[in-house]
Amino acid sequence: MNPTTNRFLTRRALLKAGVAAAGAAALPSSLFAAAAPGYRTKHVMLVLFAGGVRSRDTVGTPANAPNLARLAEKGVVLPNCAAANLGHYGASLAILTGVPEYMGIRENARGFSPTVFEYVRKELKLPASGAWLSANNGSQGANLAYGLNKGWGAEFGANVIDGDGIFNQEFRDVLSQFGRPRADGPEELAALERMRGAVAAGGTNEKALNDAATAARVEKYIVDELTNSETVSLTGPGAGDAKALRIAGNILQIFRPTLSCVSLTSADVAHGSFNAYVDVIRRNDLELGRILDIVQADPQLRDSTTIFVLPEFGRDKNLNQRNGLDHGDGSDDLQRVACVAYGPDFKQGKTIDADCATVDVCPTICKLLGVDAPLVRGKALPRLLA
Amino acid sequence: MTVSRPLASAGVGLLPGGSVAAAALDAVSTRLSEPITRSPADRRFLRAVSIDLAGRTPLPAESIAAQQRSRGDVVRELAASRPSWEGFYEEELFYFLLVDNFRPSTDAFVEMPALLHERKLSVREALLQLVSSQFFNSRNPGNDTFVTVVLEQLLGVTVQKEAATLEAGKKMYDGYATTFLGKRGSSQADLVRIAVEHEDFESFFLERRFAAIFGDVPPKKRLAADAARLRADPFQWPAIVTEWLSSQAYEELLARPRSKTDRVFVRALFADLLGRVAEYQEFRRCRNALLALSDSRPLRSVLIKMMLDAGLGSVGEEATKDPATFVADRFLHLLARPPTPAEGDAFVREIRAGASPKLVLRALLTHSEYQTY
Repeated sequence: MNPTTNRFLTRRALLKAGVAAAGAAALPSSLFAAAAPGYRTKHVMLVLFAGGVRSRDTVGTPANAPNLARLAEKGVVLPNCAAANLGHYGASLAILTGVPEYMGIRENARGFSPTVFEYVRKELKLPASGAWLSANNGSQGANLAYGLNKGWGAEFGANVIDGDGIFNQEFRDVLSQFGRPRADGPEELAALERMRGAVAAGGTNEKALNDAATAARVEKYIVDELTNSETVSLTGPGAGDAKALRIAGNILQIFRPTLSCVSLTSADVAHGSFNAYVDVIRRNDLELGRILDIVQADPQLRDSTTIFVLPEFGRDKNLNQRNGLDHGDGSDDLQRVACVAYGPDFKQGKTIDADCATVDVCPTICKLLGVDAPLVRGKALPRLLA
Repeated sequence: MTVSRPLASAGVGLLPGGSVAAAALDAVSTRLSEPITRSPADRRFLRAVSIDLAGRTPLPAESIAAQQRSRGDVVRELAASRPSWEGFYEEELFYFLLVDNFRPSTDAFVEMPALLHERKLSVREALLQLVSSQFFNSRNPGNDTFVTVVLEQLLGVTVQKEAATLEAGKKMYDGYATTFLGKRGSSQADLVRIAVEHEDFESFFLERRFAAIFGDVPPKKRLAADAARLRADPFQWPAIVTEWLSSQAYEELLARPRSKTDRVFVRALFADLLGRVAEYQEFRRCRNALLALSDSRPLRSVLIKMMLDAGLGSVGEEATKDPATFVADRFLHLLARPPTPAEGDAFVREIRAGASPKLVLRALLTHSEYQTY
């Protein structure tokens, strides 16, 4: 792959790439605010195609990301989204909070602003099974689930699952040691529940994220994923991202959450190798295609699911001395990213060149779901609605 | 320079609403001279001090050995015991994120708990060795990361507020002679030594260890006194933690159930169900999987089911011969309390209706009460 192809991501390049552009400039700056309530969107999936990914390597090069191109053809591309931060963690967190976060790359603490999970769960009174975060961020991933603002917080956070932490060879070895869990019979389960229910309330006053019924569903999901799915067998470079996407698709099918998010990181391998970076993009795109197939094959999800795909920021314009790509040159390649938005309420096959920002995604999701997000600093993305 | 970094962001969990009164911490528990019995209160006490010192519940032999000995003696001996130093070492490794591929594997570190136990190594020397190791260096590559982590994890410094200190540290890390934290040095080793010798080292160490037990920062005067004591004699850690756990404040803490961390849960499960300490690899795999979920309870349940399905955890014949005694014994063993009459009746009824003894264990081990201590 020659990194100098599609060097400048322009509207013309997008057209060539098969993503239809539109005369969006003729439209008012934001139809969102004027739109009537009652959107068709019932499920939102936000894919943080992160780790630092340039637009020219994704929407600008459909051969790398044919499924993203497929999504774009049926949705809207916003190629001029300004990144809020140039550290992976802070920039990803900013997308979720709608606030330009100051936190840096090594920060391992929660932010102070509520996340989109908290806004949505609190106002819609959703159980934790209604908001999921499938992450490949190690210990930082859990910090993305909720912030420290006292008006929201842990009780409205997302269920976080780091698939690479569970569905891996290591845990398979635990299975080998103990043997695969046996399926429970209905009578056995009923007796178990009666006994658990008979134990007087104990424990701490801390409210568990999941209620007992949801915890039981999650338990069954984990056993199924460990015993019956191919997720465990995903290995090799970029497997953590691939698992995060695979799990997000499975969760969408099983729990049908109102809001789900996938947080990817493997593209950061670009620091050392441009080719490895492109491989990560391709592998992630393949898994994105699987999610799109799931949505389109499901009559309920097909007409009610909205998907946003964007990275937290791009990468440098030019290769470094290791034939890799850093993220620090201040170029448009680094600071401007493309957001692809697909869903039943959006236009189809349009490119909207208007300036926007990654922090606009959080308020857009909240608008779509009819939720107030009083502390966001972004604005709903412009001109999206059909 | 003073400690400016909130403990919560240093990876130390603070309990909501907790506040340790200085007087309660200074007061010796009125129950300290009482002998340990098989009473629920003593079981709960023994489980709590074992978790706080060794990171796990007591093994059967340890519970038996504690019987009829005074609470004070049990705490003092446990604090200086080999299991406590092993628990100390594991928690320090986790705090510094020296886990998985970064876990120290050379003899010097494998032997560290034994050397600490034999008083051949002090807490200060142990942490100096850990932070000076190639494992810590690999974990935190490059001058910026290394100096940041040294300042944050050894001294509780908020690096963003100490930009000049960070820059000086980076220069010293790179081999240039400079002044860092008021002392001269010119190497990575100098940098770590200066940090460990800094006046805030003992207080931050004690602050985070205190918070791990009490869920709160210690009273300032007591912290200063304990830090001065540890600075004067780096072998004083067992004595200091013994005093904390012998206080009225700790007695009051026992009335408030605390959540088991995933690490404590795994170790306690092996001790309670299998009567043995988890092998490191067993522990590591389970811990890593649990850490992958924001709510690990469902996976904790899966682990319990897997272990029980595998035939682990002997239940004996008393379950079917005398269900009431079996249920009462399991409640005491796992929840450190007898069943209420209603609980006992419900469990015995299920056993008589065909529920297996292992299902009884599963119901107790997966209940929210077992997730606390």
